[in-house]
Amino acid sequence: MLREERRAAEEAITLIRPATSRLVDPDIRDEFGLETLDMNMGPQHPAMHGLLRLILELDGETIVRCDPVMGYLHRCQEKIAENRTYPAVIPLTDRLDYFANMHNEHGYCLAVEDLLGVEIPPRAEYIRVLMCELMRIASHLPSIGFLLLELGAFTPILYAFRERERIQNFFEAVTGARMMFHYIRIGGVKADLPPDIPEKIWEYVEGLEKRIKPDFIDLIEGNEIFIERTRGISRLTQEEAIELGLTGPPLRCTGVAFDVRRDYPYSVYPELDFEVVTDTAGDVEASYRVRIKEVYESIKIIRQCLEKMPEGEVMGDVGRRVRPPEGEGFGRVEGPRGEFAVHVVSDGSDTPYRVHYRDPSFVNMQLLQEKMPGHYLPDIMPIMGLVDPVSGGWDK
Amino acid sequence: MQKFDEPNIITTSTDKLFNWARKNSLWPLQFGLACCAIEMMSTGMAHNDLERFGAGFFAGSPRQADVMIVSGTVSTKMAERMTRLYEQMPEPKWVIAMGACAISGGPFLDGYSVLMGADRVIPVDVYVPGCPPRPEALIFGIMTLQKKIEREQQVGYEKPRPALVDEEGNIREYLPEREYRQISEGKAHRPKGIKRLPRTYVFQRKGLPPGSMTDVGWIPPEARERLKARRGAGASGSGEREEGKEGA
Amino acid sequence: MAVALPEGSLEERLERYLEGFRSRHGLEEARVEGNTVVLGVDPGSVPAVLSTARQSLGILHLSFITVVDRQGSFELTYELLDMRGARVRVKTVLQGEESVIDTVTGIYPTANWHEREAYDMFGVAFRGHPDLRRVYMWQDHFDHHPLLKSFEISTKRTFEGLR
Repeated sequence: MLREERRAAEEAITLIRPATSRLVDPDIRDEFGLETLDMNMGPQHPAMHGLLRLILELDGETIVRCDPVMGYLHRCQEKIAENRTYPAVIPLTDRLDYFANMHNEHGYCLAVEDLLGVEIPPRAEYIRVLMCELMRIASHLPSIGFLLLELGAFTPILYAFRERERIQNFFEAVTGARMMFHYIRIGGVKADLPPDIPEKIWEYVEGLEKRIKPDFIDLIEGNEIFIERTRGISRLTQEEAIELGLTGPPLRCTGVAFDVRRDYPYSVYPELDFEVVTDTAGDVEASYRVRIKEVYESIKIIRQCLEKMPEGEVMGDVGRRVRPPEGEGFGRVEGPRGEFAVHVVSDGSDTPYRVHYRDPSFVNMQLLQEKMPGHYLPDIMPIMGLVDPVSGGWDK
Repeated sequence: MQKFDEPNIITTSTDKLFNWARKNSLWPLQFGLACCAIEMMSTGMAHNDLERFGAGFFAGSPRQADVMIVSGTVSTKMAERMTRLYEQMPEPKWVIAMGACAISGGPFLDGYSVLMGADRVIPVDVYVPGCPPRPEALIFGIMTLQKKIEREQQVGYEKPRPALVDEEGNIREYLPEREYRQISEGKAHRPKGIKRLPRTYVFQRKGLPPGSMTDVGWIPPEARERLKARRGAGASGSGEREEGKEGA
Repeated sequence: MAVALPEGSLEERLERYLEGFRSRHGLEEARVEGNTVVLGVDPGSVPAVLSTARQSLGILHLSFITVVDRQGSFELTYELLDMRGARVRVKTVLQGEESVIDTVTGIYPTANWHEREAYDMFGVAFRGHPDLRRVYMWQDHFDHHPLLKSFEISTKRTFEGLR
């Protein structure tokens, strides 16, 4: 296609579509001259999920067409990564999905280690899994908090951020930073755990397990407003979910048991015993239940890690200068939002030739485009709570 | 302030009264862009409470906000919307640039769609460095803004205007997005008297920048002896290290 | 209503996939590496290969579509997962600067946004795509495709000494 043809095709698509209401009976529509309303839910809005612009076509309160426009936080990460050395890309991956920093780093390091073929000491693997599972708890609880904040409840997010503060204390003790850790390095982990930390994590996790039921489940589940607003919203079927390419809690809440930790295992997950949490309903309430149960599973994994952690060093045999041979490396991890994959192409020099991040938020957002028509305008918020995108993820 | 004998009469200047009212009820605009937004939310939550400074209500609409906390990377696509939001906020208004990305582009400085700092398009009052800044740092930034507000005067004070408002107060045309890319790369036209930022590459920099107030810090006594001996022994030692040691 | 995922042990399934692809299409290269079936095809037969994967072999999940700019040609990689431990990687090479390939949105609807991103970043056009717009960059007055190697950003010179 020539460039002119391509631009003409682009412009043709962005023309305003005729305003007809497809959900109303045609006779009634012609009789009363009904039209739809084009509304823009702009990039700055009180929802917590980031800079997302939704162009909505509304028929009364029913959404007829929903078009997400992204790119308001595009930070050129893939391009900048081509100009940084391999270890220097890790702080950039931290800032991709900023609720799941450890998973991003882990995915990238797995991809580069696939290229290098280096062996990682077992203690480093256990520390990586421990950090990732703590990060998963620190991501799922605020996700539930945001879902409820957008429905109007303020307490769960305060409890969620209280837990997140305590987990961030642990991260600060181990890695030195509250949020952007730069901890998981190529070949292992930056530094060993301080000697008193495993004990403290153990105590915290015991307390957390007892606290989830009164603080989250009892508070939320029986609430009539929550049930009215989340049960039956966005009934996803399994075929639809797989067709849209969903992964993570949005997929598992329909009943498909796909978890990268079990099906494409990496690190020490084959030796750990955990369940893949699924639910059959496929609606927003099901995704909430999946996330709460995943917190329990993460607690189980953390306990097993702390028990089984061997002694040893924490960094493999990788020098300061990482110069992998030519080729491609793939890394795939299960983030709290879904499958996070990294594809690194190397040309034998100090900097990567191409880094591609497959972010779960980007792919899960197609749900908004496909599934939203037919729902009401206030249902946007619970569906965003089901998908739970993070704008650093979809915009890279 | 002057107090009289009766307990409920105080006189003060209107400046102090208005400034006291304004600084103790700064309502931020909910403008979380990226990762710094999470730390801004953490600051608003129970552990580091922003409510006790009066800044707990994050207004959803710019018409009800006093402070715009630019937290996160400003991309060129968002810059136009950010300027529009800034101009929708009623006076008096202030801007806090939170995080390295809002101050100067941060780790994404060389991106093709990243604005090198929010202050290229809107006037910023307080800069809070960090990536992301800790909640305590953001609270310090808000307290600094409060001190700045205390110094304000109602008359005789010229407030800086955003880039798109000219001297008469007319709003110039919103720049199409391609112009923001020139701004973000430092190529845009700047008013007279303001120098264009020079771009230095990392491999061109040697030693500490000029006028920096940092020195190399404390050196253990054994190492210091050894360096002194080496410096005395051979004049062919590296000149830079000697320069650095002079400040020690 | 439940979706059926492929059965059998990993080696069995990998062999079955390899045979399924080989018997139906002429492939430039086909081999099994670890838990991955790597196929090299020419650009015209990508939709056919992927529809074999979806319909006949039951590989349901398209993980990502990557484009690598090799300065003269584009190398596309489609990675498919069968959600049980096996991967299928389909690689194509598109020659020339103006590159068009058929879309696979009809086979894997999730490719919609992956192909939009590939178009936005590289200029690779997908024939038959329902909605080929830019996804990250602004849609008017931006005629560049950022991730091409000819689009230089400022730090390219910073790290030249290290190469």
